[in-house]
Amino acid sequence: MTTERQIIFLLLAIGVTIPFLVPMRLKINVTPPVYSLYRVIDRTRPDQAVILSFDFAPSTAPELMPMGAAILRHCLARRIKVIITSLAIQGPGLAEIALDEVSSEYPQAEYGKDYAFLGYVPGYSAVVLKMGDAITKVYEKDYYGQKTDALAIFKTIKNFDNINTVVVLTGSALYQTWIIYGYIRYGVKVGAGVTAVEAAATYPYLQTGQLVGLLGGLKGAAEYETILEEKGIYQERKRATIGMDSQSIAHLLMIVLIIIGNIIYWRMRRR
Amino acid sequence: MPFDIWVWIAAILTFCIFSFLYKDNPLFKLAEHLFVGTSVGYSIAITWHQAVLPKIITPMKRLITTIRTASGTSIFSIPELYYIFPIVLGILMFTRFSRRHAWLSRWPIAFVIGFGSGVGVPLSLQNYVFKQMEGTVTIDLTISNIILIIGVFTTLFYFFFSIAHRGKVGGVARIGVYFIMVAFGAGFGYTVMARVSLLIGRIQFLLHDWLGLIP
Repeated sequence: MTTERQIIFLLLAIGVTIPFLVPMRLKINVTPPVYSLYRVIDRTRPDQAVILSFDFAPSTAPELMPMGAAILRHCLARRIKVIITSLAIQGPGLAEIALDEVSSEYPQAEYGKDYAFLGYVPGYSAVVLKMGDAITKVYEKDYYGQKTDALAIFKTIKNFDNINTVVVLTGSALYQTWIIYGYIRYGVKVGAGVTAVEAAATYPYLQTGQLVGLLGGLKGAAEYETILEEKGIYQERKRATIGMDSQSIAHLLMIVLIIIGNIIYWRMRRR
Repeated sequence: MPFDIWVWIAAILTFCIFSFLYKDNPLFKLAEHLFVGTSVGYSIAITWHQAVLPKIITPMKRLITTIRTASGTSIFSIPELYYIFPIVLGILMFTRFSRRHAWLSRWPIAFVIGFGSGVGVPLSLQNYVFKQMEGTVTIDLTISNIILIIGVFTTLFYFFFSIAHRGKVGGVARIGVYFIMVAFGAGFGYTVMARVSLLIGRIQFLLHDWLGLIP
């Protein structure tokens, strides 16, 4: 038997699918928190690096993977040194997918010299605290089993003194670990890419300057992709931007459903 | 699109999960159990390769080899020796499985709490209290800052239960409620976006990776 819930599911599925087949290409406006993160990353000096931490699991990948891919593209295209880490146990597998996709677009970027993938080490706060002292002491080997001391990137990048900014991609409050033990303890700048659920709670940290920039949900990722396009950075596939038409239609559908629901409620109350 | 067995498996499992929207069924249960099993298995493998092996097994092997081969050097000069303390603490956590020895697990717990409090409390105070207060107390009186100050003040006032929320006091608390409602609305909007994004991710996978209908 069909219920109202199933009709809503069907409408939502149709509303999300059709914009993929018939794109509307709605305009994406770049908001200041996203542009701020772009600008901070873009100003990384050659003797500095960016840490990109994939602190999430597959359940939040649709929102956070496009962010990771876009920031990686930015770094590799501009030859900004980038170190990929993960405080989440399922993060390295996702980071590897993003890295494989993006590094194939930029063959001039050299592993070990322009970027390094350190994988996962358990311990959240202890890991961040120790990284402020010596990154290669926490990660003695990279994700592929090579000694980190032997990688060229770590000849100049020793600890947070050589890090321009840490960008945390997370679906939880893990960005706070980086703020508390990275920014408060060592003064390293922290930017965050969070799921939309987490975004509302993250804004206070942006307002106080504890975060230098913020990408919130798929919209944040789409905004970052828009900046990259404006700056002429090559992107083989703009995953978040493609999804934003569907996002808008789904939101419109939600608004219509809420209005219909309220009208029905008022009518029932009047009877 | 070239045939990829893993993409097909992922697509079939996606439909198994979506079948729950109609009603609970064995295909959904199969996909759910597979997901849980794979996640746990993957986590164990990662922990083994990235934590247990490099942080316990390899240093202990090196320690044994050094003790066997080195002669005349002090045992305390071997760096791997200092791994023993955290390893023993870690092993003590497993005593929780024995009723007789479970009390031993209090030692590593005490260590973790001690470390966490000692390092975390001062830094957390700065992060959650001082920095946030600093952000609220501002001399730059723009419209948005005035709204921010009123919002923080009235919201905090709403949670002050020592005075009855009547008359002028009730009015201030009422304004706080409106600010809380706006926050809930923003949270709800963002939550809708998050959930729709998950669906978008799956639809994108089905249309791009599986069917090859979209670029």
